Amino acid sequence: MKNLVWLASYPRSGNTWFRIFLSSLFSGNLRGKNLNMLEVDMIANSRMMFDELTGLKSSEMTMKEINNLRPSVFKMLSDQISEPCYLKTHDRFFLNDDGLPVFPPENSMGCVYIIRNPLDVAVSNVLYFNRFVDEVISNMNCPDNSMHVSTFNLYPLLEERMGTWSEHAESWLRSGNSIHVMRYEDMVRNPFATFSATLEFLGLHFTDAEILQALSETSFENLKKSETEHGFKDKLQSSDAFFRNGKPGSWETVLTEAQIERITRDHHDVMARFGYIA
Amino acid sequence: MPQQYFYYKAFGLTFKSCMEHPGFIVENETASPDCTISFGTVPRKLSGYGRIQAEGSKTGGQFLLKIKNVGRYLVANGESITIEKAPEATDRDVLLFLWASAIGALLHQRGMIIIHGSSIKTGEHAVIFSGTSGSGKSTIASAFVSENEAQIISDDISAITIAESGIPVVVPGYPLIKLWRDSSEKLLIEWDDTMLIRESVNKMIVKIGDRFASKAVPLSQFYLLSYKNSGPPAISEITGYKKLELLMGKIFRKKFVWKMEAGPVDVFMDASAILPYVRVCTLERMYGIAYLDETIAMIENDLRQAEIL
Repeated sequence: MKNLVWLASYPRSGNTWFRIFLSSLFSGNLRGKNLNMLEVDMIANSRMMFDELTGLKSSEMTMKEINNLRPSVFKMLSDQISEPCYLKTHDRFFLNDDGLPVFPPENSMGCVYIIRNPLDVAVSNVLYFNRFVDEVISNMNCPDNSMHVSTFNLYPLLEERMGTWSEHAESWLRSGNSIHVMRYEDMVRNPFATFSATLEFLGLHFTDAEILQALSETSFENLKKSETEHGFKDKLQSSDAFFRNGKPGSWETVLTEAQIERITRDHHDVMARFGYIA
Repeated sequence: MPQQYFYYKAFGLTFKSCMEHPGFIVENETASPDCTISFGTVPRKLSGYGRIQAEGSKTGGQFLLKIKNVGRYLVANGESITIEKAPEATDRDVLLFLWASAIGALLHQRGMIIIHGSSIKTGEHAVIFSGTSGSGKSTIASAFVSENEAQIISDDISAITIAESGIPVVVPGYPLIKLWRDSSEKLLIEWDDTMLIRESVNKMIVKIGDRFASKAVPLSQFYLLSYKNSGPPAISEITGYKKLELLMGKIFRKKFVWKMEAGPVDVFMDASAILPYVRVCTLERMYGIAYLDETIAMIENDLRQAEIL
């Protein structure tokens, strides 16, 4: 059954915001504005989901073995539900060792791909993950770039393979999925039209008033306020806050000329394709 | 040459095994073991899902587990496990999936209640630390045992049977515990690459020795470990319907059990049988070894208040 919807993005691109927006729409409100009880809360890389559905212990398996089983896991999930299921992922679209897509097309309803100017992605990743700017820029151009690699201890999420920022976007675009791209900058500058177009792509029908209310509830200020009051479980232990600044254009005051040039050179084609450079 | 067999005691059962299980409690040879583990031909398919298949009922039936490059395991009627080993598999890999998943299925088939959690014995009480992978079950159990007059009953999966008196008891599993590198270093257990659970996974098997409980212990306390991303740990006692709901959620691999046709009713009955005898608390903490000493002190204090320690 084709009922899985992938909410895919490079980390720190607006994926969580969209997930919270959908939760607000589906539940009618944000349940007392607590972000820790979201309606749309499934993560494609959940270790718990893998372990629950397979009866295996992912903590004792290699990522090669896990990725070989993930298509079956998504098939099981798809078989067990009747409604569409929205799954967040920072993985790029890739084939496992058996040559099968980890995100199986036969169970995919489509993909919402959220993209953000890599100059701002770099800044947000630096501040959120407490890394050096040049290290983040190198990672964003490294084909093996991944997160949650369990070497010294175990992460609650399975390893996410991002690859390079450009390849991440291109892999989903050529995945064969029905795909809808949302630019973070449009989500910020023109939220009603941008979010409404995505809802239309997903076949979800809400009134203008409902959409406006969900946008108001999930405004950056409200999300930041909620995180301050209740905390947010998706925040990393090592980070100060999940919702940091939210405004496009931080790169202009943070990155050096050389760093800007390096990112622009590394990702020129995809940046041009999505209007980030002329 | 005839097949050599080894005899072991685990989960209150006698296993006759074609494989040597280093560190297990050795049992005398017997003509009537509870379970026989042998090499043989295993079918590629029962029915249903891709590589992970189960059919049958909770007591009895068949469960097929297939792991590429490791092997296929057929668990039947709570009495036998047949292994068809992949040519490239190491014994260590074959044993690992046997201990966790195949024997977990076998215990289900025998009607035991399985909780995804590590258990310890303190006085005449069993305490279970349950939670998802990475939540610190083994780390907390090990740290608690090293700080107190306590013993490990079982690591990672805890099997409960109902004694004739109606009291739920936790039966001893294997005298081994599996730790990630950060935990072993925190607990001053020397890291040894030869004890890695697999060559490719950075988790080590530690032999428990005399800190292993040899007899079944009545279950008194259940902690559900959950994640918080900042600040010190917090314990809250759960009562009423929430207590039942929480226990039902932790009966090992719920969906995995349901595919074996033990439906929600069985899980409800299992949880209901335990409910009157066990105090249930949530224990919220940061993952890893952050605040570990504070966590142990808080558990000790909580158990003292409940007159368990």
